[in-house]
Amino acid sequence: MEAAKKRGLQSVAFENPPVLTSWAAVVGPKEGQGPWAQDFDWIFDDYSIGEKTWEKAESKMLRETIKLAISKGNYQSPDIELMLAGDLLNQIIATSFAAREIGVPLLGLYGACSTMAESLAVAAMLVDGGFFSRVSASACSHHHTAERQFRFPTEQGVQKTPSSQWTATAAGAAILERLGSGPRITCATLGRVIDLGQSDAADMGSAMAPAAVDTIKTHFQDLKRPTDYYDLIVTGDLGKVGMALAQQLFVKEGIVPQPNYSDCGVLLYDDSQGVDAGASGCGCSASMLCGPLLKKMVEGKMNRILLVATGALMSPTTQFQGETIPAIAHAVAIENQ
Amino acid sequence: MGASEKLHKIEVQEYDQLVQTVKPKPAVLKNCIWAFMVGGAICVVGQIIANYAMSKGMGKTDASTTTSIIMIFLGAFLTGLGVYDEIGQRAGAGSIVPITGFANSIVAPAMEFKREGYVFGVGARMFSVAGPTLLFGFVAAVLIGLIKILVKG
Amino acid sequence: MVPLYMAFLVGGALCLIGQLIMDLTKPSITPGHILIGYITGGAILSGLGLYQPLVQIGGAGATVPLSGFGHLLTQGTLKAVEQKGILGAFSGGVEAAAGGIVAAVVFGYVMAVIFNPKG
Repeated sequence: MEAAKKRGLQSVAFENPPVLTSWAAVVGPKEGQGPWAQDFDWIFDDYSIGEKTWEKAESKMLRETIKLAISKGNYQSPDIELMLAGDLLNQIIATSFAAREIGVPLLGLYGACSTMAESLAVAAMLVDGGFFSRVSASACSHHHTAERQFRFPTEQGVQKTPSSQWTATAAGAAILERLGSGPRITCATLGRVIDLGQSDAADMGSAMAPAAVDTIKTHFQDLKRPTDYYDLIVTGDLGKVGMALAQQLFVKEGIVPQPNYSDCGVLLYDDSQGVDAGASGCGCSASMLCGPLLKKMVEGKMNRILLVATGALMSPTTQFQGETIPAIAHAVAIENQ
Repeated sequence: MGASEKLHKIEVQEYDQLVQTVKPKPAVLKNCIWAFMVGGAICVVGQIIANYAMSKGMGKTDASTTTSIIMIFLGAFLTGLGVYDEIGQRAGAGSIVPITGFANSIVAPAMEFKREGYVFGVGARMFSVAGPTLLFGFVAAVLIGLIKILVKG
Repeated sequence: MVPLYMAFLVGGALCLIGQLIMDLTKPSITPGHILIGYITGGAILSGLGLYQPLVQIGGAGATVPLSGFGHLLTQGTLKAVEQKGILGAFSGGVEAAAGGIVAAVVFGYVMAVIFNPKG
């Protein structure tokens, strides 16, 4: 028997679309110098946020972001029944250490940089399924913790290639509820893991673009929506290289008419900020969604967006072992109704 | 090989071709000029130190060792100040190849992992690049020594 | 004495070769690979007698790059082999390069203790 809310191969449509009632975005200094400074709730000017280690700083950033989303919605921490969150670090420590002080049940998620869409999709299913009535979904990344885990120590004299991306120091959190007013999550498409043989860790956009396009194509097929249904389709962190590839793949896969398409990794920084191909990291799509994008929806400048957060699922171990980079993308449709 | 595997292989090849057309190439000429100028300049500093040491009456070998030690100090110090990675971003191999780059590869991970303690943080991580580098250098030198013994013997 | 411009030219050229390797080969080549390549390459060229002429021409331009460190290891080994035979093969290289190695370890540790990464 087909599940009642399942659509097509990989999608779900919500009967009572969960409402995004409150959200917050917190970013680091570099992100604060970008084009969206006025749309973030808090820009801290020191990467350590007063903490002793970068890991503690990342955890604090996530914790403060979730707390901010809670207080913006005029709630207290215990009002949140469940917290869904993830980050890029081994054993998702930024998330678990942040949850230690928030004190509500936690489901920790890992989807690399696709985590924000993953947590929104799971949160929406739990709320629409009637299991919870108020859930927070969030994700974060910190440039310095990611660099030292995935690449080189920050002080090592390494030359970046033009396809490399800058891991964003940013976090985003949203509160989903059964009732309330605000933009709603109407449906979601969960992505398959796709690997087209790319192995350059300094070019994640190329590794992730096929996953993003696969999920977007499946989304339209599963939900029988026209490809120009959305005011904006925004991928997570493909960067300039991945975005250019995605646009070519749209044509190849017959996604016509071309959707109005952009990428959080391309949007987050100005070209003058020396970030090569753009931003990456869980915090990139999380902060862009919970900052500028949802703001534009509330202002009515956009009514339907599809967030397609993309993740490269490799680890330093698989890189050393010469594996190619598997990638994933989850799509979440957010609409004003 | 199954049909689906073959199809996947073709897909991978096609996609790689597409990636190569889109992916920006490094600015080779600009990078090379930077590497040449910075690398050359670092060596000039070394030569100045060596000339000074020899003018003070040091032998060639001692002068060379002194130069190495001072250059290593400079590389380590600039890394500590947070300057060396800025140079490296532009100079590429120009600041990797000289012995100052070797010092950088020791200090950068050592500093980065300080919070994990002075033994398994600084102490262990400082050799993450230097260790393999010395390893291959030692092995090559020992092999060459043994070959010489064999050839002569 | 080696003129400064020769040190500049030889040292610059050695670095330029490294840059070409990084830009034109696989993206998985890291600075670590470059360092290993240079120390090993220098040691081998030195064993073949090809590195000493470069040192004559370029002075610090050939000794400051890490290939010069490989050269030092090989020359130390070869010299010790003459004197001590097989024992020299194991002790000569490190003896010759001891100053540099100890300086790298000690300065590396001291700097890491004094400074914190700026990010």
